[in-house]
Amino acid sequence: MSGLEDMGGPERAPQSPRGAPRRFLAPAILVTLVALVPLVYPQPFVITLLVFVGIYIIVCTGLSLIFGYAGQLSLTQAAFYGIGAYTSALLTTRLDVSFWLGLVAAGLLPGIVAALIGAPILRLRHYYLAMATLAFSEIMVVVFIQEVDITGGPTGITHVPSPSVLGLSLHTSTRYYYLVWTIAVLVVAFSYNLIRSKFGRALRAISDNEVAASAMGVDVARMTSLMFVLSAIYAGIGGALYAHYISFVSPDTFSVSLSILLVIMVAVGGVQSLWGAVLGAIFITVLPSLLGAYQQYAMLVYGLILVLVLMFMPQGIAGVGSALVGRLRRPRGAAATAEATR
Amino acid sequence: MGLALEEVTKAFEGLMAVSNLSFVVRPAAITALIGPNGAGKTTTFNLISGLLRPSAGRIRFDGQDLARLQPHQVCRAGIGRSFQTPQTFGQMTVLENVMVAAQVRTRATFLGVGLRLPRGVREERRIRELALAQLEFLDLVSLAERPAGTLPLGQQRLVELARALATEPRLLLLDEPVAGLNQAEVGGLREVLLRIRERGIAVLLVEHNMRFVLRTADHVVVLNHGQKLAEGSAAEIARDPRVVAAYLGRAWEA
Repeated sequence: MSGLEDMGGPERAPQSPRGAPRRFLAPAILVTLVALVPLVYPQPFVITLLVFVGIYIIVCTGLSLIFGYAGQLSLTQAAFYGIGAYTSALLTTRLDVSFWLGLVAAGLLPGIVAALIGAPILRLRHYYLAMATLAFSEIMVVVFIQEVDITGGPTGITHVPSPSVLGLSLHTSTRYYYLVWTIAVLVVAFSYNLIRSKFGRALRAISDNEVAASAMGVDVARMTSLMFVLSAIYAGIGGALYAHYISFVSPDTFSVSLSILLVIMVAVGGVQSLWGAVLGAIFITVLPSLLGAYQQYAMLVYGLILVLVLMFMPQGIAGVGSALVGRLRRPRGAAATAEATR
Repeated sequence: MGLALEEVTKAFEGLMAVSNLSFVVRPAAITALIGPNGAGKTTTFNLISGLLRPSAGRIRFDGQDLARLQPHQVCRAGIGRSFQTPQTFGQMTVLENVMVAAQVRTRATFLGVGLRLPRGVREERRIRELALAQLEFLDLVSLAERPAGTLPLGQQRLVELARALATEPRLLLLDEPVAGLNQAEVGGLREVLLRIRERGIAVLLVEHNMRFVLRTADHVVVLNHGQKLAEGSAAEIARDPRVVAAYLGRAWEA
């Protein structure tokens, strides 16, 4: 559980003299869990659900960087997700490019688009930024539908191939699960390193006091646009993984409602931490299947949960989790502080 | 060399906050900017540090024109600053506050940092060392892990000073550094400023505490209604009848 608290917020993890083994403990446990789950729950239904959980973790981690850490609400992640899905689907079906090259392109293209549109729209703040990103999302949906020659229009692109690794085809859900979760773990680890570094510090300084941050040499505009670009890259990678999993891409998947669902995931999980994005993605993706016969009310339940979370636990699931862990560990709190001082 | 304001004017919708102001801040000297409330002192600070753009005139720092730079660029050019009401990062610890400033000239890319490449790790260690050195200089090490927002005013001012020093400036702008400090703290800060001057760093401070200014500053610039009323050594200023009439007399008695 120590990892929960360590990653559960902007606060730094203890760095004890025995820090090296401890630093790897939480990640090691997580990776083991991820590796074991398909062995314990081999049902295709569960694996499929977990593939989607992994994809949403990748996308939500990016949203957490721009929304939670840089404090800018983006309602356009679904558009980047769509650009990534179409890029990889088109490259692999029309140009016979390998999946891996397609995946790289699926990350790069949304990143470039984000850098281009970020320059003008990230000057906006708060609701204005949300509206601008929403508008871009709508524009992309229109592009996906209207550019029939490229995107296949409303019917989309079919027969998107399954990838293979070193000759091993990943056409089964279990194999695909390992691909998606390997990438998800790498994305979370990369992002975790970022927020624990000077970049995370600069982002927290910006959200704490923007004027003081810039007077201390923090380039606020650059930091924000960096996080926006990174969130777009993650969304694009997620989109490509989605396309090659269901082997089919069509415009309605990438509507604004997906962007909003992603925001709900991050908000419910907790905007203040990467763990929040991970927990939110798991919770919201798994929820409909827990509703059983009442699945058609999923949107209603999401809305209700979002309202309750915002009212009663603004730090989200991760916030409650780290508060609980903090309470359990309080007797050792003094020691942890002493270690952190080092 | 040093900082030079050349006929700087700042008008806010017709109101002349600063008008045709010229003065020089020499390297490794303490210069004080004084004047009654509303004389344009803080506006001048904000013009220098890039928060405001002059309506006319030039601000040069070691030959570079600052007028078009943004605040973070001014900081990188070698000017650190504090604020009239302390603007620490309240949610962050004292050490983290100073580390934000200490990382200003680091170069590791986000790719290298995300992958934990050695350069980023080394850099992070250097950032921490540089920040800790400032805390030691100002005797703040014992507060390193305290959230800055929980500290009393006097200590927050010191945190701001540590933060400004961590950017490794050649010029330090301090906006009312001793306001709200007790007698002992004022004395301590004076010692600190003299040591900062010894390190070759120029200091420009805005201050109302005349006793402090006349004892500490090498050079004093007096503003009144956005214009320069007088400038000279502390002794000259204390004797200048215009300054005494406009400002000092009242402040001395207060």
